[in-house]
Amino acid sequence: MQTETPLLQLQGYSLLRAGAAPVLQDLSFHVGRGEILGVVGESGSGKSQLLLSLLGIAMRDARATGSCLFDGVQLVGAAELVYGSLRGRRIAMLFQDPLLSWNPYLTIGRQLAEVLQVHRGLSRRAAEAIAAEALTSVGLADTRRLLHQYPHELSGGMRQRAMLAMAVLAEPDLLLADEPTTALDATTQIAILDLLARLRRERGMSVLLVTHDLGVVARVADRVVVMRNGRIVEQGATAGLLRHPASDYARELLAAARQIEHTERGT
Amino acid sequence: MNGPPLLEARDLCVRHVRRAGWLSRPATTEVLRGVNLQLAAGEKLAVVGESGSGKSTLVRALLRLIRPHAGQALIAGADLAILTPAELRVQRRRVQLVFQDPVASLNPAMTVGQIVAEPLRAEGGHSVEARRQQVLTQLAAVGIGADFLARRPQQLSGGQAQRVALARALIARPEALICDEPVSALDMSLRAQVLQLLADQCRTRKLAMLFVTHDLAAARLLCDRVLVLCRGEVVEVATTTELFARPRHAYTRALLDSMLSVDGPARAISSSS
Repeated sequence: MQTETPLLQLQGYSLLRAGAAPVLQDLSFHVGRGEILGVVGESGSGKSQLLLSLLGIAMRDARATGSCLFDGVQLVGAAELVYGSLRGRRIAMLFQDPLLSWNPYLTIGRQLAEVLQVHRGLSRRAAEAIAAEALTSVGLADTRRLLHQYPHELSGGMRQRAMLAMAVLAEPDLLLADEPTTALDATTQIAILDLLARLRRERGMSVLLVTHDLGVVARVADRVVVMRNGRIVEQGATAGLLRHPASDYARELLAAARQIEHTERGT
Repeated sequence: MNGPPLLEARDLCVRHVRRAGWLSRPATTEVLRGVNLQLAAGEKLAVVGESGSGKSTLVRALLRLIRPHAGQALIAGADLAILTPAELRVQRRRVQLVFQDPVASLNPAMTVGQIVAEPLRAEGGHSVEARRQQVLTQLAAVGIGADFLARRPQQLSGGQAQRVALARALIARPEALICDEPVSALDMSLRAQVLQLLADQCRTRKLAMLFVTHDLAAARLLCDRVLVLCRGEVVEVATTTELFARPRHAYTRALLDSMLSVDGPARAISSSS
């Protein structure tokens, strides 16, 4: 494992819009190689915009300033060509809603194969064989049949598993995951989170996991960044931050989560 | 015993008919298979299960918003299947619904004041001033001030919209609330507040509640009993304490095991930097 520089390093990173409040303001954090970083915040905290801006697909009128180094490459002010060479190949994205992320008109196999054709120049036949393997690796069975099915024929959990298979197909260094389990059932959520942790372990992939759920962070993240209104409120190692939050905001979030978790009834 | 339960399902079965493909015969899916449920006056019952378990179908069938293919849905002992449309409306009014997506469940063309007054208007027989007073009282009860009367749903946050939806449900003076995932669209810090509000309102108004959720923690916080639904079948019904202490069904145990906690088992930090 390489340890010299973090895979992703943001320094004073802001996302500004003319005539509006900054979307992101002065963010400084890093994602180490093979690390899962949780970004926690509530609606409007800017966490989804952060992910989109890292892919170079933030709002059209938004402008990034500061520094954002991905494996030594400066992304702030980078040409579309640079993003194009990273997007999907070295940085992949997993969205919240597995149904919206699929093209409803194409079979699962066709869409997985496309990734390999585009990013690895494989023939369609070769690509489909690898696609089947990828589906097996995320715990899906009967992959031959699955390849010929359409997204709507799969359950939510299966769709998100297959989406994860697609995201890691190009063997990205960094996976951006935006609330990947929020739309899923509790038992499926656990399975997907554990799968993420396994993929990280087996492939040394880094993950930037955006969520509003501190329970998700507690389960898989090594470190946590807490965001509010486009700023970082607090960051630190997961266990330490959850046990001894330094900021009032993190304390509030934890208290809210514990209030639901631990209230004993009948008292 | 004091009379029949407020809400009751007797061997309720619902089927969906769908076509699996172009040439295949229509296939029927059993969405609810012989569900039995009783909600007593003032009782709080959680219905938990995953997506596809039939939770929302059960809610609709209980109010006869969809027609079951077998079994009975009863409100206060009255079988909804044999009521006239007018009688059905009267019975349904005793039970009010709060939905998951607070903004989508409010009419975007109406103001908060109009939305909350709507059940009274439908009922008839209230003067404009009486309606206004009622609206203000109900909004105040859920923590929404008079300055919100002229706002529209899209100008509300998720938490505010859910409070307005609750005020609209309460103004009809129901005997029971059916809440279908009322907090799952809300931010964490709001969830606890809205759940607390629901609990308070049920207590002060002696309301019964059917709380539909996939979130066991929320069910534990609010409810006296829990009914676990799995693929359209009731696999377990128990008091909340009993269910959490001694889950009997494998599916219930799987649900309990998948609860996440901020104080979950400490994980080894394997960061490389």
